[in-house]
Amino acid sequence: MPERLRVGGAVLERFALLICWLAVIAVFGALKPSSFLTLSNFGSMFGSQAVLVVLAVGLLPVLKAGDYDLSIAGVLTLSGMMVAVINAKYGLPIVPTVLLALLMGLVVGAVNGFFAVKLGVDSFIVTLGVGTVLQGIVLDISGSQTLSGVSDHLVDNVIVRTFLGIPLAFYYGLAATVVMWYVFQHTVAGRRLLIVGRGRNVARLSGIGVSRIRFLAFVVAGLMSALAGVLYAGTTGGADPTSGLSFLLPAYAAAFLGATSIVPGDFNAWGAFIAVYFLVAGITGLVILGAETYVQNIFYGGALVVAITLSRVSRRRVRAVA
Amino acid sequence: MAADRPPVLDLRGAGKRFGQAWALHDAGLRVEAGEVHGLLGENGSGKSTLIKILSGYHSPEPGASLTVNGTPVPLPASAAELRNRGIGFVHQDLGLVPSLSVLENLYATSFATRGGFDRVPWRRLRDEAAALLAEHDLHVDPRTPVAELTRVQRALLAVVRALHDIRERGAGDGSPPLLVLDEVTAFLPQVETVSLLRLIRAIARGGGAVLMVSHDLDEVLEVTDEVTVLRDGVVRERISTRAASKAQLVEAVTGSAAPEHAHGGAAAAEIAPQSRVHVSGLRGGGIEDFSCSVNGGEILGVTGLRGSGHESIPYLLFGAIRAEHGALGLDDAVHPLRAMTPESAVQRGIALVPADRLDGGCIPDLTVEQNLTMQVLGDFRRRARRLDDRGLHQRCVAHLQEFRVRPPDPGLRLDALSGGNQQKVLLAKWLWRDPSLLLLHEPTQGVDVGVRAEIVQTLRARARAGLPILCADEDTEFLAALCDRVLVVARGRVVRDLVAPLSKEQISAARHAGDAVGAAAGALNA
Repeated sequence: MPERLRVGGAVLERFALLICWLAVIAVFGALKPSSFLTLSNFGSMFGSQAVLVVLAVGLLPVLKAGDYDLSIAGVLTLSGMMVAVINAKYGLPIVPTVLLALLMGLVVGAVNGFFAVKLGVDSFIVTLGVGTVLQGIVLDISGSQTLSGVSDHLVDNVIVRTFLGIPLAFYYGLAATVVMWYVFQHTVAGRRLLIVGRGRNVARLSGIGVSRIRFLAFVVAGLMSALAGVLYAGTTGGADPTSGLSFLLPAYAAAFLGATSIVPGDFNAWGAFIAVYFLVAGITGLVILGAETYVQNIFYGGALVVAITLSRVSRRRVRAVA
Repeated sequence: MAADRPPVLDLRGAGKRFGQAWALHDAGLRVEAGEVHGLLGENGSGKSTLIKILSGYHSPEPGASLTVNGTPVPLPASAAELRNRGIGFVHQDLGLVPSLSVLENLYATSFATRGGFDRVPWRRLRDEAAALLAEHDLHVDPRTPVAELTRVQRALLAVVRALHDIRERGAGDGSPPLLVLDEVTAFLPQVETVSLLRLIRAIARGGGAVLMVSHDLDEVLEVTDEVTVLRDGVVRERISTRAASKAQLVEAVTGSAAPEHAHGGAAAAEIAPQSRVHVSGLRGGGIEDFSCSVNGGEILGVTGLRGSGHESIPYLLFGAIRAEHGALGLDDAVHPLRAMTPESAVQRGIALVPADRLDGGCIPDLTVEQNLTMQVLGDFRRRARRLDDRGLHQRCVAHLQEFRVRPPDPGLRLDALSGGNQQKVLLAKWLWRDPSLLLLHEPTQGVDVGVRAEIVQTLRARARAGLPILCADEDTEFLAALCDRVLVVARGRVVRDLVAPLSKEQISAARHAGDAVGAAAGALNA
């Protein structure tokens, strides 16, 4: 293949997801300009999905280090429920309430890290178990009820107030993405994380603190999931014991789909960010066209399968070229 | 054999270009029936490319032709096509599944082509397999898991399997088979290759042809009839090895007369020791009791037969294998080895180049830079914890040039480099931050003669500059060229202490004699 074409192909691969996203917007915009191409629709898409952005971006360090964390949706749900119970029901001011929820995320991340790293248990299974335990706690503290009445202060700062027509929540997700991008791309820690994920034994024999890095990745995932839970409570103004759990699959779909672009072959923050909005644009468009809400399941599940397949194919191709 | 019989393999005009560079240009290769043919060349000479064209992995540039037993075969040929023509491949990794039995591995290919729900006649296969293995002098129970075989038994099994597949699926017209062995002996200890070489000769005696890629010139001289030598992507020579000398082969492969291994044994004594290493009472990982001291400017070799425990010593000192007992004195500090971890070892300036490049040495799908700099990243931290990419890159280029890595491009994926250049990157990585002790395990494994000489040179230069080096290896020729002293280990204890001037034969003899002593001691203890 001529050099120019190959370089062109590489650029195309990097930005394929971004192009798909714009194409989806263009198609639905052309079909339903009056309902899809409105500021309020974009505001709601950008604002409501910030929860997913924070969750998916927070998951990336764990995936990059070669582990799994399936407890993230459990942490998100518990965090949201803690905000509702502690703030709305017991009347603790919102700031300490939020800090408590974040602390919970740190602790859960540390527990995951303890089992997966210190004791060497398979992270997939441990975090599946921990996530289920958290669901149980949610049902207990909420009495299986949906709670509302979370402080307006939180709701205002998450979803009501806007900047350039888009709720502040979006900018929190954007900030999380920028920070994660910086860490991955421009810091020593990010480089070490990459090495740990690609060659754990090599990293160990090079004197890199593999255990410390993997442990920290779990703690970051716990903290970011709790933050996503706080945003979720702020977005809905309350908390229910189950809906947060449905974020697990979209977060993985976004992380893996994101890994096929921007930095193809590696989990990366901007890829995950774009993937979230690509997926939601598709779903929103289909719903506006009259699709039932179950289209979400099909879309997210399908995207995960397609994303993993694509990353395998592109890896194989890279190997064949080399 | 009739003179008018067509060659088993006749490849002509094979070329392959990557971008602007020809990895292989207009190469021809002919192998006759009843012949063991060697394919020689340094890393990066086009040898692997040639094999990959032959196995159908690469499509050659237009103009190449392949004839097998007189029948033209279009290139690239599929694996099934090659098998049907009677060509079988055994690659360095052998392609065995360790957790499955000898029997299951042996018939893996036939399972792949059999109807999915046919009943597998296990009993009959077992009897067949036992007969087949016995025929080739491989005396193992077919039910044994491959993981329990020795390395040489695994290699034998892979060769027997390839042979069996050709027989089963081959042309069936009695035309001779061709077996391609791609560096199959690379990771075998020398003493154990004997049975494999015997099998290779037996195949040729039976009228088959063998094409063999190897770095080990002694082995090539012993087993082949002729060799084809590649250098810089071009076939340079065809040499009959029945009458050739090793020096002749070295010259053909490297393109220059055999490098004299400059030996620093005498010179080292004149240099004041700058750093002193002392190991005492080391126990663990197959070592019963080991003590030694290494002065700055000195290279200490540790060797022994496989399983003697010598190969654990670098890992024990580095904390990669947990020691049960022992202490490491480094300069003026003494470190208990039970508490040593790779992380603390690195902080103390200890460097370890592990033997297995692919597991523990480097990460092939990351870039050269990422592999080279993984332990010095902290030195390039700038404001806002930012990594100084440009500074890192510049230092990398300088480093690669210093270690004569070709090409010196930090942005390439590591696996785009040849094996010898990968090994240089690995050395460069560990010598980046002048260590206070360098531990090596088989640093020239799977590396050709030219690079090997370069590595000896680099290490000797570092030793002269005051770096104490400890190298565990089984390659006696390399140890003789490199070391000032060699300790021979048997059953976990030092049984011989050899001092320069060293010779290959002397070390070799001591290893075997050492084992006899160790065995006798073991018998007395039992």
